[in-house]
Amino acid sequence: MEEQLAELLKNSPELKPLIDQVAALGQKSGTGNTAFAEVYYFLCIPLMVLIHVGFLAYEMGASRTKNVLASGIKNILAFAFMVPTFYYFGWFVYYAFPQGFGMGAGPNGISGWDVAVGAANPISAVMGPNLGDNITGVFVGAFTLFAATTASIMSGAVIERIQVGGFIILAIVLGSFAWVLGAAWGWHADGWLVQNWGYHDFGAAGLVHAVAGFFALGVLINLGPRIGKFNADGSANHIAGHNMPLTLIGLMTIIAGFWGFLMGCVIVPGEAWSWSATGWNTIYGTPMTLSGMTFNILMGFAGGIIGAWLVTRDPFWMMSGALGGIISCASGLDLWWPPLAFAVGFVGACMMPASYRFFEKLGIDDAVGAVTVHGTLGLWGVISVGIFAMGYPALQGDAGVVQISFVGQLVGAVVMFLLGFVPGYVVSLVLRAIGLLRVGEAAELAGLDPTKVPASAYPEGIGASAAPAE
Amino acid sequence: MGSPLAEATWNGAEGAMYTGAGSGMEAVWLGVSIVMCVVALIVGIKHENDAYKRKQAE
Repeated sequence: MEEQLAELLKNSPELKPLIDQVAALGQKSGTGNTAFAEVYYFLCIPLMVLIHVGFLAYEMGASRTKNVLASGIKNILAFAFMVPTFYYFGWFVYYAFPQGFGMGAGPNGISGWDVAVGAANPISAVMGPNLGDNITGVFVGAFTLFAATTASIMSGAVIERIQVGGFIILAIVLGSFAWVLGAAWGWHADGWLVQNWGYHDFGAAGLVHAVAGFFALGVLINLGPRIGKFNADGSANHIAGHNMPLTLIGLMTIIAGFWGFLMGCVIVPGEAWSWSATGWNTIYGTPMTLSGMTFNILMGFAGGIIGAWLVTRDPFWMMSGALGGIISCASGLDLWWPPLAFAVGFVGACMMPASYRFFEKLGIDDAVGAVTVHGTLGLWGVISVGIFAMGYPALQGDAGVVQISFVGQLVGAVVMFLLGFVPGYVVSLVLRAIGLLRVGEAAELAGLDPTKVPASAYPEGIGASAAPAE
Repeated sequence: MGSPLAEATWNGAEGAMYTGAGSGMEAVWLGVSIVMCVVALIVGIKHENDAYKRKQAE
């Protein structure tokens, strides 16, 4: 372009004012696009913070009065420890491991040891204020919020009996390593799951939700149920939280935050790091539109609520169904025909009660249904793309690139299950062995707030905690 | 640490401009912040275990 303008200027000097104006407009347009891109991802971050506002309210509402603040502290600390640990090594993992543990360079040249050391190690010059880099901090921020989301997913499942120290260690393993490895393999365009199997997980149903959900399952096996959850004959009691309205508002706030989460899954055009000069793309570089994504988020959300209403009539499960509906659709939010998104969300929500009862019969006390909503429906989200969206090219490029397939999605689902379950089980087993997993029996019976929290949730009193764990 | 600018002016400033950029102290402060996290975690675990023991003894 510049050479053409110079040539034009040489042949027609009288056009200089016009050419100068074109150049100025081009520069202004580029600056405007850069500012837009930066602000776009920056705004994802406060929206995603709403996810944590929601999880905080949700978990505290689902806790009994004697444990309200302890649940809140745990949730707040998960977020807080995620920020520095993701800075220390989470971002590095995302860039280092797409091709596997060997840290080799990927086909797009945007991954591997050299790239990670240059752009994602915590003493790199781009990991702080840098006038030559407008975007790294904003991307790290958005990914940190993804990481904190995974920790919060696990957090709800384990309320009322986990030690906060052990929980923080688990949250760091999940949020700054396990899911990031899933993202490196199945989200990064150089990821081996993407390159070899055409794995498609646009909205992270597998690599965020399934990984976090099954990580929680691994922890719950070693943590054990709350006292009073199961009777001697193996039958289960319902342990009600102290504030259902707070839980419902929390769930709806998580939904609001999900818009920021899904915005962060999109690549803005026109920048040096963009896939395209003009069009919006998925993280894989495939074309998509915010319009299409909006249709499908809304339809999945509605399908989830209505499906859950059909099978439970319970407001807790209806709002969990809203979340579950979006998770069910998440992998293919860029592709679905909206009525199909509704159906996928609806079916996912209808699975929830059966999935929850299945885990409960195995003796798993998942206080908020996180394994079901995020784990089971996360896998359903991945596999549903293999069933209904097979044949799409999984990457940009000429005809012949790897395609989305049922087998590829199935392989991805198995990998995401293992990436969550194995570290969750192994690390919690070690923590149990060294006495850092479960609170003492006396503290659990008395309540964690009066045992260790120097504040009171309801100093003027509120109804006593319900049986059976009193 | 302090300003990494060659002169006391923003004119012509470019690249990294955080405190101590290029001074080699980045890794030191990285280490300090990691130690702070680890110490807070260890002290938190101790506080928690002491609280459980007190409750058990009641």
